[in-house]
Amino acid sequence: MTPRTVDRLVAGVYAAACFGAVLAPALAVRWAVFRSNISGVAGRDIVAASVVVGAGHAAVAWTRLRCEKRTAARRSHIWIASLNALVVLALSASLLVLGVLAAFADEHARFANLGMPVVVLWAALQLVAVAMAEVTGRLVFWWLEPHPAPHRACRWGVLPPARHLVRVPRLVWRAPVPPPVRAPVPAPVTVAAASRPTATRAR
Amino acid sequence: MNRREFLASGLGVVGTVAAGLTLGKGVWPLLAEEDLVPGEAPRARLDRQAWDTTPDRISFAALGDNGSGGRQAMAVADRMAEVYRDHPFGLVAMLGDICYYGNFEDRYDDVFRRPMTPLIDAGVSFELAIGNHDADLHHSDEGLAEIEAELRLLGTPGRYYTSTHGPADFFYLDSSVPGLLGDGSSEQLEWLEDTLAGADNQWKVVALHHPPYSSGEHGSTPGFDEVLQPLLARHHVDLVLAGHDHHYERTHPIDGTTYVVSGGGCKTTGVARRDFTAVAESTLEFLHVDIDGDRLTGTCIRPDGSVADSFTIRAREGR
Repeated sequence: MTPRTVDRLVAGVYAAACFGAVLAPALAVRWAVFRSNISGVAGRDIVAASVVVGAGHAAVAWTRLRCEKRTAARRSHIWIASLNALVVLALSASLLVLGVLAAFADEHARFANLGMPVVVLWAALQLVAVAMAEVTGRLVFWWLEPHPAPHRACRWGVLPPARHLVRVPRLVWRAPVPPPVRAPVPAPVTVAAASRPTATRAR
Repeated sequence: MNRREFLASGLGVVGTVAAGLTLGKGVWPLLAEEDLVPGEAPRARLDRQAWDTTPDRISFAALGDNGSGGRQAMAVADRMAEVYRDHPFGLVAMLGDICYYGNFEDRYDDVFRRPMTPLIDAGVSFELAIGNHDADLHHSDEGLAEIEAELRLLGTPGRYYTSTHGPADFFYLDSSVPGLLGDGSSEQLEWLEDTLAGADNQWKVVALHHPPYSSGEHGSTPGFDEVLQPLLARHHVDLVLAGHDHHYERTHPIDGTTYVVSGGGCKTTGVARRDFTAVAESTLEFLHVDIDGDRLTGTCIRPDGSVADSFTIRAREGR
């Protein structure tokens, strides 16, 4: 298996994990419906909403990984950032739904009374969870990557560094320069003083 | 590995473990157990006062732990309206926990008025055995305020009371602590003893929230086998209806009394079987009871209309 195939495989597994993290709370609700002997249709709208959000996020996560692979200084940075993003996604996708539905039961019931389908709220909460996960992944990746001081490199906020945007000092190979060759110095010419007539000689 | 890589990967690993534990043991089971997704109220239009209550005949329903206002509660309420259409009943005995996720005063419309609208409009009366806030009910101002709100909004005469419908006497108890157990419980027990002794109707039905016998998550209420069960047996109570555990369960007659847990008004929890269990199922449900002369027939109905249990009790000799 080539490294490229392994990368694709791991990226696919990661995208599937993201999909599963988004889908899990809907499946928990659906399981309750299934166990409770309510008619088969109940709860399917929530599962459908999670499938749409989860599939969208899986595609985004896949694309992000492929993109980061091209720019990363080290491959481990991609996976560390992705792991953190997945943790945030799994927690927020379930806890947001649980917390918001339990804490604001009156408000949701009121919306339901007005005819607003709860599936809209469900999808909105999961989109917030996806956004939190994406921001986390990109932020951690950016933090791990080598970059100069933030005021110079971070002109795009928390976006990850693209090599062509970040002024990272690079090492440039240059051909060794040979030391300058000195021309040989001619030996000094010595003239015997005795052979010259001196000016003081009596004319 | 540099310092940043070490920190980020450590955070990721710790987060993975924490997320696994939090979600697997807490959040997902909670989502599967609770009824948090708001539901649409039943829209059935029912004939007003279509039931037929005579001195030897009555139909009533028993519903417990239905206070979510969610989809599952609405599904049960919808089925109750459907059953009323074919087998009208004039009374619903509510077995406690009629309000979750807030206080009853704020959620009255969501947890009671909306789901029960077809039955309320049909003139069905509701009688409540209080049950919210399982423990420490009487030990806080909030608990007392909640009880007051429930009693006032449902027109319930008190924490424990009796009513008569056709051939049956109903005894509604406050089963919380110290309602039937602990210091200060003697008052209600004395009242129950006296009232049961004075009841001369053909059938005696006791309704309370905490079950004397249950194989569910909460189980049998400790102390009831010593305090309550002998008293009920002594006075030949025919049927005891309880909630609290979110499942359906019927016991074999214990000293002549049949105990039913009907707590599947909006949530379900698991149930096992114990030696006193005749039928047990973890399902949403409510109980429909027909009393006709010397025969009491109970039917546990699931939200899809199927029957989980059906049983018959014959009246005791001499009644």
